Amino acid sequence: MTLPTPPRAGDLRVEAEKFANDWTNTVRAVVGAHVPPFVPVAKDTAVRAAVVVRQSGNDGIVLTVDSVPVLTLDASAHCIWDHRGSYLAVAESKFKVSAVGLASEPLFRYEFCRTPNRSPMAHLHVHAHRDAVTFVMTRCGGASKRGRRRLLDYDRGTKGNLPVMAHLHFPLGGSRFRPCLEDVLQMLTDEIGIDCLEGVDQALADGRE
Amino acid sequence: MPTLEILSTDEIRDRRAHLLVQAGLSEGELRRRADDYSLTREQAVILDRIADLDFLLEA
Repeated sequence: MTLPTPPRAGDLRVEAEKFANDWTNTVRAVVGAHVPPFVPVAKDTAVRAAVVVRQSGNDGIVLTVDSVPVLTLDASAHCIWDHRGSYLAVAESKFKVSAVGLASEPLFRYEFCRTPNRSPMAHLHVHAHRDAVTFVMTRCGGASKRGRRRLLDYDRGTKGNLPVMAHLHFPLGGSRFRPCLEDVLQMLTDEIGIDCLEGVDQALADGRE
Repeated sequence: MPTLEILSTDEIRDRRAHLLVQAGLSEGELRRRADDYSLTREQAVILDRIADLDFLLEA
């Protein structure tokens, strides 16, 4: 049996910068070269690598329609070495889409967590309201841990007094099929018609490679 | 293009403390307002960055 080779510090730099550069290149190929870059930040240990990839600045990826800002996309990833220590694996990623100029509550969030606590690894939160959903959520059963917790949370008001759809985790097909940054950008270009550069389809296809 | 920034544990803690000062709120209040989605965008970004630093600290 071959034991995993411990990662070297140099590898971490290469992998982390490649990850951040890939995201930066994809977003700039879709939205424009003005978008601030994604920057990797790591802890100074070569044994258990941990790298955060997040965009510099506070503005996120501002998406426009007819040059008017409409949406903000925030993307981030927490990365670790995979179990063989050979490549940087995503432990957690978040893609948050918000409307510009409206309340700070996002419209929807795509999230991935490699070690979830009973929620689907890849899931979607929809920040919308429908009375029927709220009604059903007030009647959560005690047959599941999450259902029991919801009842307690709403009873105590620890998650607000009313259940909301945004608390639900809509599964998205597990680790291998989780939406990537390119999928979210593609959804926003196709569904919302955000302004994008020529060749966006090719750029997104390249980003998925 | 971006260069990897490598932080020591002390630097991570310092940066975390600085972010809380920037937010102008206690961590508890920041989290409470996050649950209500009543943070400003700047405060929400700060909370995201604190989560990033906590991930690095736990590694």
